[in-house]
Amino acid sequence: MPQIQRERRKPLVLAGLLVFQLILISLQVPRGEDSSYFERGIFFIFSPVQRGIHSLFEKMGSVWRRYVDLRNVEKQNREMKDELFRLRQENLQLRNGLEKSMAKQALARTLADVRASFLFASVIGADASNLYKSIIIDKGTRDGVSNGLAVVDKYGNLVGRTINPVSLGETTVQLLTDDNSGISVYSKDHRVVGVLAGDGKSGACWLKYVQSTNPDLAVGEELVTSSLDRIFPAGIRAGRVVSIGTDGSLFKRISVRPFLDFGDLNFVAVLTQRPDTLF
Amino acid sequence: MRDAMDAAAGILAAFIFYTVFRKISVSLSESLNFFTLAVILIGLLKGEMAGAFAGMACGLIVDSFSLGVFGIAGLANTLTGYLSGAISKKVNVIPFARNLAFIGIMASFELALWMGMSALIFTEGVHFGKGLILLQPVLIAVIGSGLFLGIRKYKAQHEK
Repeated sequence: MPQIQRERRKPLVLAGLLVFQLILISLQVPRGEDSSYFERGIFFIFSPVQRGIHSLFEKMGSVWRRYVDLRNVEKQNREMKDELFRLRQENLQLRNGLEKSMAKQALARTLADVRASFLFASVIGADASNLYKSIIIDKGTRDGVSNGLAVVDKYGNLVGRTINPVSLGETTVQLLTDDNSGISVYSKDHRVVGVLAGDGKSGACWLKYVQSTNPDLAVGEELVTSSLDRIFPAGIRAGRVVSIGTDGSLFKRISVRPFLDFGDLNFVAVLTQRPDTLF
Repeated sequence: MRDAMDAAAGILAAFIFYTVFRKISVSLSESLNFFTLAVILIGLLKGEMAGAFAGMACGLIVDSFSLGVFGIAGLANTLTGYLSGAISKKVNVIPFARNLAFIGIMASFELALWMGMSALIFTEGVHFGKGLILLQPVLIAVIGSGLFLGIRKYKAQHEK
């Protein structure tokens, strides 16, 4: 093809590429937050690469821990044994308390269900454009993960929920600090109900739809999930009220600091059972 | 075919570096966009068409690993890749200082375009990463011009 024709074709090809991507953007509007097959395909191809790199890091860390840093490993082992002992004692006391209100068999069944509903996962990646929006975990459909499952951190604090794209071995988790997330919560002391949404910029959250005339909520109160949204089981710790103000609208302006610690987010648990089957 | 494979290798390397740096330091990964770096270098080394396609590929990878509108990063990177190749054919950007300035300008252009489109769509505004995101053009320019110089020297030695 003559050089001049090739040169003339280039802007047309560029225009074609730009139109293709404008179409991709437009297709998002009716789909809402659901991802297209194209997006899922790219995620399906590249997420195993992230998983592979995470595994490599884990193996290198494991070599260091097992063969080089043995003194620290011994210290960690001792600390973990002590904590395990304390947790077993606490568990025993809590079981004794529950047995007063529940039959032993029913309690054993409930606890077995709770144990089975936790699927542990490692965090292998974070959102490419904003780390307060989402993370990637190393469990997918072949492990029983699907869209819309609650995710907690290793301390039982709320992290977010699984959303599409979900591939065979990896899943995206929308964090509670994402500005598009909305979680039904209530305050533990005064039972004030609201919707917790992230600000998407600084890792903080807002408690929305609490009427400005409501006198009950106080700074320092703990917020937990209410299960009214049918996604998150009730009672998961979400955050603490930091400030309460008004901006002249119908609702208060309440800022919340989530319990989620971004610096310590390596392991999470996916709750594979829905609220009405868990509690 | 060789050019396509080189570009694909560049995109894969960018993805690997992005993943590794996200694990090592979130702050560092916010101040250096490996995908934009790869797109600009591919545009400079392989031409505007390679830059445009690499931009589309990198942008779509970024979009599929982030929540939000799928296609915004693709648009920004496609234009950046194309313009990097097209402008570098008309203006001599081989001297180190010019190369540094050119890559810095293209990286700033990509960042401004992406932020502008995001600000239009996301009413809550753009995540600045506590200002770290504004370091991207500087770091991309420094690393990009160093890599460009290294690649050119390597090619020159091999051709001998």
